Amino acid sequence: MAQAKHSSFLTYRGGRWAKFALVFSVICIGLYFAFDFEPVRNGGSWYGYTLGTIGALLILWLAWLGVRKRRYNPGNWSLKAWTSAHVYLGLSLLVIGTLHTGLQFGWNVHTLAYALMVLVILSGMFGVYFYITVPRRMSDNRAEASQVEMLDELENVSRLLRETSLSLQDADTQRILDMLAKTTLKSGVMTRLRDSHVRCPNARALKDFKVAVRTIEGDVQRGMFDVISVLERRDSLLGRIRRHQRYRALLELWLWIHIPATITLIALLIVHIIAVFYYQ
Amino acid sequence: MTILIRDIKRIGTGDATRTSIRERKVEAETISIGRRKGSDIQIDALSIQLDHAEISVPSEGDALLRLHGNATALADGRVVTNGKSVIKPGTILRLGPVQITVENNTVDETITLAVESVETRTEAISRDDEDAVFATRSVLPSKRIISWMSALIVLGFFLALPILADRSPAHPIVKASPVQADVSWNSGELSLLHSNLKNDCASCHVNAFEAVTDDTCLSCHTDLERHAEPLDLKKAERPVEGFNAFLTKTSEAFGRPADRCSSCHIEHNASSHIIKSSDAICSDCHAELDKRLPNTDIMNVSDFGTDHPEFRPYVIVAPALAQPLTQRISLDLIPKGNSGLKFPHDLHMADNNAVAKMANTLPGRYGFDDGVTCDDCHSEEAGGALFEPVRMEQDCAMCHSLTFEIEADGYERTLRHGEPDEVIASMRDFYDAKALANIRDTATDSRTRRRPGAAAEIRNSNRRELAFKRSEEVTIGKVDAIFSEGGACYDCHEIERPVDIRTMDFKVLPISVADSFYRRSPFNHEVHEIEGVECSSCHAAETSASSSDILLPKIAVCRDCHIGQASWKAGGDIAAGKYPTNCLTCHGFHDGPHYKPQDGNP
Repeated sequence: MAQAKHSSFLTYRGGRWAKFALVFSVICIGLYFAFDFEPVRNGGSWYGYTLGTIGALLILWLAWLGVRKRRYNPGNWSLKAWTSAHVYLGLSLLVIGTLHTGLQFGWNVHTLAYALMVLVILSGMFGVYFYITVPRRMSDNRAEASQVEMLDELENVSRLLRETSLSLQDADTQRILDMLAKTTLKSGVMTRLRDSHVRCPNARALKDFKVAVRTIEGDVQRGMFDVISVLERRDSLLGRIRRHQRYRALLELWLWIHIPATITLIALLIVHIIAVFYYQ
Repeated sequence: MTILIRDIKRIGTGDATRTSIRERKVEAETISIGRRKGSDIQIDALSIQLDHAEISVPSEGDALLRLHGNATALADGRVVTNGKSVIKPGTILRLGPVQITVENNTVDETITLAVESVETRTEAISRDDEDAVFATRSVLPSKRIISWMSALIVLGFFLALPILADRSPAHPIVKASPVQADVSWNSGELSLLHSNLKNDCASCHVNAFEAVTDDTCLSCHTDLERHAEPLDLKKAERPVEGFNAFLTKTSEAFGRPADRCSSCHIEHNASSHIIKSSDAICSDCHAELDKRLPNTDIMNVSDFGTDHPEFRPYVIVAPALAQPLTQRISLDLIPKGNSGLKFPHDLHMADNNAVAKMANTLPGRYGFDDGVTCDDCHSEEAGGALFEPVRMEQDCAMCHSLTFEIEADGYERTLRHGEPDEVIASMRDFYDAKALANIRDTATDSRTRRRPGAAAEIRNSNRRELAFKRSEEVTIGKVDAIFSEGGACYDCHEIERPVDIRTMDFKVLPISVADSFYRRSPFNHEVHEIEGVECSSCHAAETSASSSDILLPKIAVCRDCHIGQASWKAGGDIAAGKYPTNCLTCHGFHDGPHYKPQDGNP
């Protein structure tokens, strides 16, 4: 597909950082097998220390993105360049970190640090995946409406529903009242991730009213038809808002693993380095 | 009855509030209140029923509120449900969003109902809820707080606690810890022999940030011998240059000096790696040892399969009871040993000769069912690495009898093995005793009784002298016989004959059978007990006609199965009968100073 001049952080400058990270990883793997380490490959060999030093500095640099993105002045590198390097060098860290372990694992802080590093990288991979896939679906879903506009629209439709419902019978107005009370969008994070719209009170009321409207006639029936059409508008609007919630959760939730795990990883990195030199 | 309904509307907020009041009169006794269009008081709220309530004003007495169906209302803040309630003037009713104040007009005795909307309708979700609805941060705890807490837990549990445990093991926090504080620092399993130290990090890691010192190792390992003289060792090392020199300097900068015990013995890598097995450790010095140590008599070696000198066993060149003289001689030179013993292996091991036939006639307890085999004489020592010395009484005497005389009643008189002086003394005693017995028997025989007198005494005296003289000659003859060809001793031993045979000063030369040909790298027979490997696979005993033959296999025999480390890495295969062999397969680094070997002094 012919795209405009826009290029994402993934394809920044023809994937310069992807190529760099790939070449760097291949060189690291090559050196790993090129030398014979006595008595066994581990983080304590000269190559192990080298990879460990590179890995630790890389982790600090990668984490610096959190500081960099808060600055407005672009500096020598744009934020896009920075992000592109962050993603690809972050992936190469998986290679560097794994080689640094010499594939020696155990129940200790050293392996815990490795596990956390893997967790950070994996969560980052999820983040990249969602950054690639979600925004287009998100903007299709929103149809150019802002979040506030969606909420305003919901308020308007709800008000219309209240007004339209005034002509209903007492039991039906009670139903509308209950439904309005039960409809919530301030749901927990798991609810946002799931497609929870099918259990929406509005949708259920709509379904019930569509059945009930066939059993009545006259003005009362006409009144209920009006209510049904408003319920349908409201239903589609709620569905759109819930999808938007889900997309935002997808775009943001991985950060709740990525960021705390990164900070914890840095703490563990300090522990790891002090521990190996304390008891050397 | 006239009822005044006053609709009050307030527009705007605060000081700018404007109030609009509209009044209407209703001529009726009952006022309907509800959502239904046309109600006297119509309340557009879903919480209000179509026909919610009615207020009736009788001509006499107070007004009455009547609620329909399930409708509810508040009267002065109290819930009123179905049925009729009296409302006194001044009562404030609340129905849904509407407040109705009941007022009595004392002038014309009418009732006024002041109706005011008091509740502005708000939707459950408004634009102000944007973050609450859409932002993930509104439903999860702050990332920053999670991060800080997690990092602090990690630093406290995995850094502060282990350091505290190391600095003050008796601290109450350390004692309260359910697990050993520094166990989380353990980078890997200790080797099996050190596994008793796994809960005592400080036994090796004495000072913080200091690499394990040799003194720490030597505090337990007290019996290690030097590999070589330290000065020689230093000279023998290949000079550290280039990248390796950089690595050494960097290590030292980080407090890890080179040439420590733990430079080679790297712990926390599980058992298999505590001892480095790379030939490079040895060949670094030994590949070109002569260049750096010109006076050494240790030969250059770098790989068992391709660059190892022929074996040089310690060969006994002069037997002696106490310290036989030995010399290291390469098997290439076909060394001849001198044990002082005559033992042709071929004669004893032949299938169909006199020895074999004799062996087959012996009782089963000697185990010669199939002729003489190796294990009839050589028995494994405990552990199976080497063999017990061969013993004459146990391994030879069943054939090589030491009987020198058989008594008339068939009793066999035998000699004591291993003590030639005692042998000669025993034989002399035996034949002297025989002579005495003869004299005694002659004196008591009535047929040889003589007349008493001096002449008879002289005759008796001559006879005794004669008897002992003959006994002496018999003894000399018999002793000479056992020490001469065909005699019991001569068969196996080298004999030094006296110049005058009458002195009977025969000497058996000392026997020195080597108990180990390779003192620094003893061979282990037990590990070679595998299918297809016989004694004869390595030892050519069956064709050896002399005990001076050194029946050791040359290195080529070993190389049939054992390949060096370089070849193994290039593609060794145990299934193909090839076994990886490094220096440590046979040699030990700490087995003592194997520099300047002193011949004859093991």
